[in-house]
Amino acid sequence: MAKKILVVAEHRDGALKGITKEALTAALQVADDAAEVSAVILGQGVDALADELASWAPGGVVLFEGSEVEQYTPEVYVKVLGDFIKESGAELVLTGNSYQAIDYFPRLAAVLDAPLVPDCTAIESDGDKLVFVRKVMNGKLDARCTVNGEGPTLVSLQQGAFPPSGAPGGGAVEKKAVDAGGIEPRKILSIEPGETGEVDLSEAEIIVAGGRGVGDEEKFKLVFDLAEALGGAVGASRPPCDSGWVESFRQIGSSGQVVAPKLYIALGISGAIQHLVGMRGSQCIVAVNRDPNAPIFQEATYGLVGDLAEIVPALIEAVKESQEA
Amino acid sequence: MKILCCIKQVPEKDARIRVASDGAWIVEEGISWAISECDRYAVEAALRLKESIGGEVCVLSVGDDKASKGIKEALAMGCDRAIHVQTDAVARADAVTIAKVIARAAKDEQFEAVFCGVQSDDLGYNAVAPAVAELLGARHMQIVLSVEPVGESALKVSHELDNNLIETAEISLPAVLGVQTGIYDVRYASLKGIMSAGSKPQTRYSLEDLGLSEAELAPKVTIESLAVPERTHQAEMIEGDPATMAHTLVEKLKTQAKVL
Ligand SMILES: Cc1cc2nc3c(=O)[nH]c(=O)nc-3n(C[C@H](O)[C@H](O)[C@H](O)COP(=O)(O)OP(=O)(O)OC[C@H]3O[C@@H](n4cnc5c(N)ncnc54)[C@H](O)[C@@H]3O)c2cc1C
Ligand SMILES: Nc1ncnc2c1ncn2[C@@H]1O[C@H](COP(=O)(O)O)[C@@H](O)[C@H]1O
Repeated sequence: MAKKILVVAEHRDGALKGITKEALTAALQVADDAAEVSAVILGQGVDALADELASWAPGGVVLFEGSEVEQYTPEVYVKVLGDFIKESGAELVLTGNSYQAIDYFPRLAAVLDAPLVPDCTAIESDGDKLVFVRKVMNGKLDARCTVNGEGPTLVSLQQGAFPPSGAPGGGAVEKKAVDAGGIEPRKILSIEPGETGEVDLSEAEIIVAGGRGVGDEEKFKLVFDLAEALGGAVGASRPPCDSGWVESFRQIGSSGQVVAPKLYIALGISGAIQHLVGMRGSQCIVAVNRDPNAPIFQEATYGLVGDLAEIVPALIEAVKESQEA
Repeated sequence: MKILCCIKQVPEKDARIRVASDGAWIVEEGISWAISECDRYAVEAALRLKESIGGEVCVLSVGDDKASKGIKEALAMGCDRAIHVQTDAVARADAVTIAKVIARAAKDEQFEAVFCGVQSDDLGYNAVAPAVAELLGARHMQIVLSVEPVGESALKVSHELDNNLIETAEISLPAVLGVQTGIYDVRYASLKGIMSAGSKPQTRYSLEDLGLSEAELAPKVTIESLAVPERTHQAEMIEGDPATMAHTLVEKLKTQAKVL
């Protein structure tokens, strides 16, 4: 399968990211020999993280240390990682598909003129070739992809696609100084938390969320009505927030709130990964969608296929009846 | 300021997508096509930047005849001219190959700001914008939420980081920005815009015109097959007419899932 595999680690606030452990897990799964799995981390004062990483990377860890990488910038990351990947002879470079990876990983692929497989959900083997699976057409289809040519292949892995296994132990850490080659990174003016809004949805026990499929601002009243009948809160996927049907603090997902209620009802939401990561932890998920193949049905406990304009009023009725009974 | 905006024509959101008989692409006939969602915001952002400091907006699309419709719409919205790289050859290509075509078509013009969408609705790489930046030797920001000019030679840009953090940075030009949805109200084409779109200048290139060699265009990643995702976990599907479904569901939520 794959020989030399390098995992690019990511950390924030003094901890390795969960997706880094997922990437290491994926690497260990596709490696012919665990000894071929190594990792690289950039930072200042992150020795402890490098050690933790080493317990996952039997092939060892390289820590690039320096003030230039104390804070992430794509310019310096691309320079340092580009040089290192060439020198390391890695055939497969894996990282978690975080917003940081979305920012710099494609640039790294362009520098290396390398094949890039973004947001990969599974890696299969077909003889001696690796097959990378990723979603296309707005999540409606899985594409199985192979890579052509020599040199490193860059793959970013979808969050949650490779549940972390245990660390096999055994790697060593090697420190290297950062050579940013006089590159001037972008001038960061501020890093601040985004808008959180008045309603903390993470406390709600029941959430009724509407998506683009609800149709328009007026029809979104149905979502509020069902939430009211159930005594729950109203959430949304991104499009209703973008279109101003509801306030943006109601957005659930990777750019919004992360919730885990007892009951999550998704109305007219397709189930894009950026939405799923915000509600996957819910105890019971109900999905109403007119497309029987909508990815949301893979996450749901109960699925109802049909037009929500008909189903939601019936649901409101049924809820009220059951409360009266 | 010389501004470029990259748009892509994709199947409409609610289009019924079917896999073609070769198993490796979709049936293109019989579905409607539209400008990819983020790209509308990219056009809006480009037009707003021009309106605040002057200059021109050129719209660029790589694609076959379907792309012409998107270009016309962007011109009607207010873009001043267009570049159409007419080809079907990179429709299934990897992000770096697509970026090479865009960068080559843009290179000689020395655009100062290049707007893209953050993610296309078909291939969905979330990658073309930063790759174009690298190939143009430009700075970039991805998942962009706001753009303001700083004098003539820099932009103040905010973008999303993980954990709901927003980073604001000042970047020098040239710069490539991957614009997120929802950041503005996107304008509709005015009647006047629609009337004048046909007479705005359009440059058409083939891949040969751009001098891209076969080696440069050789796909690095090949889509071997497309399929409706396999069901690893399947919801318990509730059948019947709406009233029956509703009653069954409420019953199950109470007695089976015990969440009501
Ligand atoms: C960097 C980035 C960050 C993002 N962050 C987030 C985020 O935090 N949260 C988020 O939600 N998204 C986020 N997105 C957007 C995400 O990728 C999807 O585009 C979005 O979640 C889709 O929303 P949707 O499911 O409502 O719409 P669509 O994907 O358009 O789905 C609409 C669904 O409604 C169904 N439908 C239509 N009409 C009816 C009807 N009458 N009855 C029943 N069903 C119907 C359709 O079958 C379809 O499945 C982000 C994207 C990017 C690139
Ligand atoms: N064929 C194309 N023609 C013009 N622009 C494109 C094309 N493909 C991608 N882009 C731009 O790159 C952005 C991101 O696409 P992607 O990386 O595929 O998600 C799109 O939103 C467009 O702005």
